[in-house]
Amino acid sequence: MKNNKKRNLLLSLILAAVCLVFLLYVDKFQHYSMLASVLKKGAIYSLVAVSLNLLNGFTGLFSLGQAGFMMIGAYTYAILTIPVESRSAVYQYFDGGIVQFCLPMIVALVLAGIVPMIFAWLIGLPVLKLKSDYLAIATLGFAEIMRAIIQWKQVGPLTNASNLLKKFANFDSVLFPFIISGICIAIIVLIINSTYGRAFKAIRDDEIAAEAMGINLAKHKMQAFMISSFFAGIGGALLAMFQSSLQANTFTSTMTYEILLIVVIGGIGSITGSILGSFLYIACSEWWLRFLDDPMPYIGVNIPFMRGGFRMLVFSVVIMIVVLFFRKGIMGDHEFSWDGIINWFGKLFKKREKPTKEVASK
Amino acid sequence: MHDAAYFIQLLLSGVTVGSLYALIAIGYTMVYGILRLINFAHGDIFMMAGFFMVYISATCSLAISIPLVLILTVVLGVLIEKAAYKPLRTAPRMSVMISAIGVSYLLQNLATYITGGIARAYPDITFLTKVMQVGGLSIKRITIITPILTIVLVAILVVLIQKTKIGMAMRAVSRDFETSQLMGIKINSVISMTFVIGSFLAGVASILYFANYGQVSPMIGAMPGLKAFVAAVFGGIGSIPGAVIGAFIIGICESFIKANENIAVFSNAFTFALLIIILLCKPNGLFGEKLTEKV
Amino acid sequence: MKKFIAMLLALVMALSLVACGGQSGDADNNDNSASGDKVVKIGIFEPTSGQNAAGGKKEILGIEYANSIKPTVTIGGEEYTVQLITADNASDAAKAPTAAQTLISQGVSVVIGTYGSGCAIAAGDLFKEAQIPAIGTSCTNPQVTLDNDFYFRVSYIDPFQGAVMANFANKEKGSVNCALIIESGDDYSAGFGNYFQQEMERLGGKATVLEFQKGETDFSTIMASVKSAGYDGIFAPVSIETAAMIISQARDAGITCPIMAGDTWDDISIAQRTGDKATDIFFSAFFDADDTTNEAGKAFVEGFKAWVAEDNTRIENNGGTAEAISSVTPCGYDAYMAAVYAIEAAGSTDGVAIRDALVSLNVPGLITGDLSFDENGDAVKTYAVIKTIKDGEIVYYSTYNG
Repeated sequence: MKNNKKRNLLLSLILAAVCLVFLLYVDKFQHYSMLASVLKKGAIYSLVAVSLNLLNGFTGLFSLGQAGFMMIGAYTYAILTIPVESRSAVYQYFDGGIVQFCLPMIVALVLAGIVPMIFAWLIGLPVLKLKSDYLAIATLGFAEIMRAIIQWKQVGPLTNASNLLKKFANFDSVLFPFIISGICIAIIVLIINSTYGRAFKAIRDDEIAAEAMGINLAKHKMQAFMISSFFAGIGGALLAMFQSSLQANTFTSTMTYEILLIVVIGGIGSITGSILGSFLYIACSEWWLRFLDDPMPYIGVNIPFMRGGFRMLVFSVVIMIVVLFFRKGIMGDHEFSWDGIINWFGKLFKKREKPTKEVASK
Repeated sequence: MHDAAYFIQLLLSGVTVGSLYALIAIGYTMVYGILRLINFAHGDIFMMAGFFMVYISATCSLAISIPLVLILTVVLGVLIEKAAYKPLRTAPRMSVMISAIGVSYLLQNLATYITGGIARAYPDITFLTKVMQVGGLSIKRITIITPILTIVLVAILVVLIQKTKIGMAMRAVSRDFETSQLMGIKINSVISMTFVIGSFLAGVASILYFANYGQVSPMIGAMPGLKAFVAAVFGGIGSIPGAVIGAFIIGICESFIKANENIAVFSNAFTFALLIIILLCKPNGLFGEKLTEKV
Repeated sequence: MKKFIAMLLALVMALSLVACGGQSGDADNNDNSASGDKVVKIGIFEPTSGQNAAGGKKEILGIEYANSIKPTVTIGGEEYTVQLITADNASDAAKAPTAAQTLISQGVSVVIGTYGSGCAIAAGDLFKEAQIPAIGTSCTNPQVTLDNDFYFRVSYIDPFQGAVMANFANKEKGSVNCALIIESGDDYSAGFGNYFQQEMERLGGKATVLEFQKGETDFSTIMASVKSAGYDGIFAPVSIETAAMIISQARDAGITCPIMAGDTWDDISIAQRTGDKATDIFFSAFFDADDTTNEAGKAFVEGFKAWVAEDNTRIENNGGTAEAISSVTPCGYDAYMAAVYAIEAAGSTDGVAIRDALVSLNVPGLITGDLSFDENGDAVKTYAVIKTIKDGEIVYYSTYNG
């Protein structure tokens, strides 16, 4: 057993080193490639998907407000990091806006988590009393309400109403989103493996039984809701940085659905599943399946049905197949572990060996 | 500063929009009453009905295309139920809802693909869009026809549910799914019937809605769909008169909010605020029946 | 079994990430060295879906037609074939950055586009960071090129267009108390409306803003307000899709005042959809297809009509007819020509070199006039056409020369 631990640690270190070298290579030599862009966006979506999974998969709260919290995080970050000298250009219809200072990136990033968390607390007070699908529609509604508030002219000096925010502090390196997402996901994993996490899972499996065992339902649900919003906010801020411009219209319910589908593809209740799902989803939708939008005249054939929009059609059919027939997604509710992989390879090996032995004995 | 004609105009446009929400809301409330499923794809069925009309009327006359559109919409609704919801009947509620979201996504992408992402002009149904002048007001025929048609259809539906055998079965299933199954009710046909009615009404709503605004685009179904759902919750899920009244209230409020420049941005958000307030104050809606949580 | 599939997926993903990474890396290297294969990539950054798709497709037609006229460039005595790469920004400022990144990652030398200022502004900084010059077609908001020395533009800008339309409304149509219908959150709509309002107020008139949300279809409440307040003109700088609804709902509500707008409305589909309701409609445009004094324009109109008629997809993208020419199409043509001339002047496919060439570029006799860029990167334009809709056709109304 001890041996296994050492071996696993070593394997993990090797994997981490390989990833690091790979990212550094991409950062250095393929800075503007599709690969770099997919990696960045995938890392950001991983964080958001994991934060939603914490809520849907681990606590059993079906929330559809994730895009709303991302939006608050993104706005918090953007508003606080636009350089003072650029403000008059950005807030051109609001005389430069009312915020006339600029915070360092990391401080703003932390605040981008804290502000949505406060909003989550406020929203959670009334909403978390609701049951499953009512909760879903109420959180969806809150996301829409918050979007409307941000777009309201009267708060324009703060949020620039529905106009674009830009020129805020940005990242350039491919590594940056990986580091931030990595730290955040690590914290989420720690939370899930703590007593809090066990309480969350108990609530998911059976609310009434959990309450009977002395778990304070309201308190734990609120905690899960706030933690999830915190990380969704940071994810939103990262997304704003990735796009280098920000508009409230980005964060519609469609975005929440997209994240929810990622969680489903990865496996509800699996952190590694959500991460894998994010990279797979982003890579497919923005890169690998792009050829489907093109009738491919250059290889000599003209496939008439392959034109703009076909990619998304194929993609949504694939998603429906996953939802209907592979309900557990890639990982089910399992996590990635070296033991699992080695055992699995072992099994695969044994299965192949067995019949040959039988044949031999005959 | 505004005259009476202004307020009547606002009220009329609110009633028109409200009655269209009502027709869509019935589909939501019936499906939710029976399956406990928010059919997120319902708004997109409404959108697809619009596109059916665009493409069918290109070759057929209106007299043929209107019934054809309604039939196709019903077929689509039932098909979705069979393909995407029926296999998940024993699955957790979250899975079915995710499936509904997936179907909605699929229909939107399908429509985007077919139309190339451009809004299509809806055929001009002059019978509906003719403008009448009544004492300083310009009123489209559709403004008058829509509420009347809605009330007639709802009345028929209420009779259907209260007086007929299939209506009784529906009520039984919505009260207790398993027991009614044990009593020999054919669950599947009841559910199909629900989707037939819901989709039919969505089809009717789509004809009235798009004839009024003149064009269909792939993403147009989502918002009216969600608002209709809120109307259904507002009126008390499972209650048809409740859904209709909820829809009228939402339609009229929305019309007045939109008219005020300072708060017009909240025209969509208002609906959700209303939803949250009603859920907190009167969780079963205006006319909903109290349900106890079973352990 | 499921586990097996799961692992296989993960493995395939990991491997292909690496494999594709390698491939695109090679491609990048080729582009940077600009030798070996003789291809210059020009990116088309336009909406082919969403509410501006109709306009975007017409601009792409202009670019493709220009490409058919001049399919190669000469760099350092060698012939290079121009390869056009299209990315759809879906008329959505939120999706524009991804589309821009697609183009950047494919190693384009110049980007042409886009229709709609919101998308151009949202993607501008990405082009700037990647040091790829972009040539705006009909994105008229001044913010597009401001503070961005890699963004250029062949069309006139909103302060000019806003002033032209305000003068027209105030002096020619006598609309001194206008309703200004704009889409909230759209940079084109808000910016253009703002300049119109400023000029209107300078002339002693009034313009009251009435906002609507993205995706709105019901304008009956807005029309009720217009009617009740008794505005004597409507100015609606909105997208093509919204335009048809605003026109027909205004006329249905019994509003008879002139409806005015900007360059987006120069699209035959608006006339087709509104039918006999399209009365008293006026909008500014970049180009008049019937202008017989414009030699380059005449040649373009003839050539383009024949070119569109060759292919059914082209006809469909041009709004179902080969006869109408939207004034954004020549913008696409001019932008392509500017790009090609700049590449030849730079003698390289390097972004910075092309940018420097664009700064000092001077091309006489393009379709929308002589082309040179001012210190912001905007084309120097003092000429606008005002058009109207008559019997379902878009026709010339007057010219503004200032």
